[in-house]
Amino acid sequence: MRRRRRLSSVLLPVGLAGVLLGAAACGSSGGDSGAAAANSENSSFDSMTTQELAAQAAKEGSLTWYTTFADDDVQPMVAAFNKTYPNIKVNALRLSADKIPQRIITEQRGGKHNADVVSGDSPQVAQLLQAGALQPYTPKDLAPLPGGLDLPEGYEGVIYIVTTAVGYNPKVVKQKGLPAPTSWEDLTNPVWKGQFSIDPGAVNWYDSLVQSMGHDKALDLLKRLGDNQPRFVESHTQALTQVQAGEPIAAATIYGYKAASEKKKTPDAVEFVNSDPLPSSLTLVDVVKDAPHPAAARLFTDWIVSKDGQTAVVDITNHTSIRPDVKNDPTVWNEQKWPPAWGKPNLPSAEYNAELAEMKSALHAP
Amino acid sequence: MALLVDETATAPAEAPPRRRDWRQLLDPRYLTLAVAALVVAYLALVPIGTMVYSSLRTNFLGLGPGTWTFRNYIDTFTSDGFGTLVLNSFVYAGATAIVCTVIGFLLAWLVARTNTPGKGFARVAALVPLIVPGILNTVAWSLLLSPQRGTANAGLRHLGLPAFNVFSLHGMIFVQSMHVVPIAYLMGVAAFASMDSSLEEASLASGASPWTTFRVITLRMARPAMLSAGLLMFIQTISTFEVPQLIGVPGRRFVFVSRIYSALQTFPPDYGTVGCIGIFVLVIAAVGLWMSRRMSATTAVQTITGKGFRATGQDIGKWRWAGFAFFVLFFLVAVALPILMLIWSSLLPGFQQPSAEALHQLTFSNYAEIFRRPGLVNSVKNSFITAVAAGVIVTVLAALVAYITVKTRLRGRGLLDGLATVPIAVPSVVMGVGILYWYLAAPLPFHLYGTLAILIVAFVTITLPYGMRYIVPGMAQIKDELEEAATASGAGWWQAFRRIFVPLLMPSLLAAFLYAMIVSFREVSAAIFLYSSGTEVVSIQIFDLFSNGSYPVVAALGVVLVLFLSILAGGVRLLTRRFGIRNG
Repeated sequence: MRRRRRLSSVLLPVGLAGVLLGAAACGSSGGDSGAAAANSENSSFDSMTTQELAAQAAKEGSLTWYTTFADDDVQPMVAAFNKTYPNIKVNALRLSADKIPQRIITEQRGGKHNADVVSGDSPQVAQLLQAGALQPYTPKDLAPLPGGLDLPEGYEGVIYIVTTAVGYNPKVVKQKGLPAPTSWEDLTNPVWKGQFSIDPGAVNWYDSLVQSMGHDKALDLLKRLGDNQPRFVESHTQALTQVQAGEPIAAATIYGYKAASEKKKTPDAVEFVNSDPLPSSLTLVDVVKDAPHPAAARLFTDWIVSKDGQTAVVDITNHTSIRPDVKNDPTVWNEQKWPPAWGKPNLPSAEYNAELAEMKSALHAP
Repeated sequence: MALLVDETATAPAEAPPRRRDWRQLLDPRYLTLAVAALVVAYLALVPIGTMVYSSLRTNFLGLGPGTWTFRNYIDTFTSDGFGTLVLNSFVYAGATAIVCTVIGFLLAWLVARTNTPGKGFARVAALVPLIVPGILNTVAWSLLLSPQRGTANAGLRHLGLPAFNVFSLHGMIFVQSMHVVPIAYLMGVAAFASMDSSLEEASLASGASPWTTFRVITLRMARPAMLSAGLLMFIQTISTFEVPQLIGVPGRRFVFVSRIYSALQTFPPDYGTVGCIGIFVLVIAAVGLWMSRRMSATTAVQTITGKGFRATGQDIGKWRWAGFAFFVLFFLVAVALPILMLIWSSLLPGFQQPSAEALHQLTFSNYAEIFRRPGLVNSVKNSFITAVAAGVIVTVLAALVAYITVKTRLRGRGLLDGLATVPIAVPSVVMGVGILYWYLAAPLPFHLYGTLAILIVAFVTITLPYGMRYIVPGMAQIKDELEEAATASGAGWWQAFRRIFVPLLMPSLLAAFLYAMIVSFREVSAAIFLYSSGTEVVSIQIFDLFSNGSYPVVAALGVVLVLFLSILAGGVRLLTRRFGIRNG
């Protein structure tokens, strides 16, 4: 019966498409060779003055910024940039940190060059660097890196610092007659058993502990925290909301800047303590390789690490700047009071994965 | 997939023999069906291809070159705790599927087939839980039922009842069930509304009690739809992330999704493990589908015949007040509690458990904040366009494909049914990555990346299997003689389809449309790979606020969204009531 055959013959081209999919997937794994050629023409932008860049960028007309900034913060940031450079339209694409490397690397492999500038957590940016997806560029007026830190040449742009603190609900702590926690060590005390939350994927925090205390001590602390039955949380919003709700009463891993702004809203329900030393990690900004708007990309990077840009970052997001000439939230950042314990910038993937696995097994997380 | 072919299912309609020549190729019937089959196969192959490929490669989407391997399977299936994972997943998804099917079909039966008062109210109430974004629903329940300070638990203690710890397997089952009951309800309504009541009337007239009639006739006729619904909810529950991540992980009850999330946290993400788990779920889904087809085949009754068809309400006497009480109870628990919690949270500057002293802090500032969000209007527009487009496309495609699989004997129809169903088992992250990768890397003549179309493709692929399950049972109930009569009277196939199947299937089509639209509105996991600057959707805004913002603002956005979607769903109902359902 001919009719019976028809459907299968119709399906044949689709099968072919499936084969193509496989072929395309295979072909792409080695396909990053043509990009090196573009570097030389790109480098002419590196020596331009700000005025020249601005003129060129105005001709380009726009730029695309892939960023981990919260959505509400992105538009004010763009507005602040446009105050100085009104003729350059900024298209911002907000992505969560873990999605950034994938997006950019996949786009580049598919021959789509959308991103001009990328900003994100340092392990993710390190992954982009490792994949050859970034363009080396040293921004003008770059603040010196904080003591002891080292970033590869051409990839030194720092957009802000993130700190991790211990948070708790002061009202409930008082009601229950618990001693207010002042450190992670305190949370290993049996009185805190099952009464605090922890994010088992907070590698930046654990890495800071490893760098400052040494691996064995850090792992030991983590194991004792794990034995005290913490409740696992998925996001920082969840952790803070739970603290505000009073159950669990404390959180081992909350961001300082976020806790500070929630504390302003509900002073009875959120308190946080910075430890000495204070686990801190860098968030980086870089120019993307084969950026479609090379001048605008450099101009934006220059601006965001400058005093103007960093003042905007602190005012809008309450994040911490590395610039000595920008005033940070003193409850989140005070180097004299809480000297920073820096995580390793550009943590290699292998180390990242090893620390993640170690955290999970110490905390008995999935 | 050959397993899915079931030659015994429903009597096929072989069209009267005609001369076969090249013109037959242009016959609208074959043309339409071939295009639909092609589209479905194309849509399904991208995610399946990605899933199979990633499960068999080392370093999928990683930096270095990869090789072919079975290592991922060996590592995944022999990893520590995989047995517990399987057990937990089955208990969690199985119990949820049973609870939801019972509640959903009971609600549907009361609404569609009885004279229980308050039906209009129940129709709305039964849909609302699906409309509330999953993250917000889950967080609301975890706050209501947190063991020591949850408001609902305070209420339980007040009544002298023990507190309910939501961070447990029971808690997961409860929250997920409350959330997905609408899927079963929609399917139940579709089934009951297109079920001829003459058999029930005959039974009652012969002296059988209403209970016997319900048990022997109604339940049996609804069985294919119930199996279908149970299977759907089982798979849906196995693959959604909100409850396992926000309740299971804190309660240390780990399921497949917890493992998938864990695999995605590494650098680069371990898609090998994700692919293997996807394949495992696919096998379960295939076996489930095969079993439900086998079991339905023995009981399927074509009740919509050419001899007049009525779906009338049954007088259940005093029991109607029990039905009404059930509506109210369902509304209070599944709808009112989480929504009130959401509203309460949205009115506070920072979250606090409900109390008299918190009352004086109530504020509308969170609402002001979300309306100030620059991307909000644009993202609502984008969500609206993509969700409605996905809803329409899924309904049309599923109707055509259901016709092929139920009403024809074309060879390969089982494969097609399988293809249309497979995306159900593909973890949505794999779906997202696969679609992203395909439209970026494949040498296609058109460019969808960066447009809303790529999101529509994803939403259609994700919701198509559900559309199929909504329409197939309805299609199976329509007796072939109707189409034969139309053809004999000289109607073309397309005319017969439009004038016979579409009106009779209206309840199923509507259910499929509503489901596809609402789910597209809510979808996050795949969309997160596919939006770009200018094509953000609301679900992404919610997810973004949830991971970066504060809960009260997300809650405010949730309240606005629930209002918007309820109005939308209500509008669709009104429209279809005006133009559509003519049942007897």
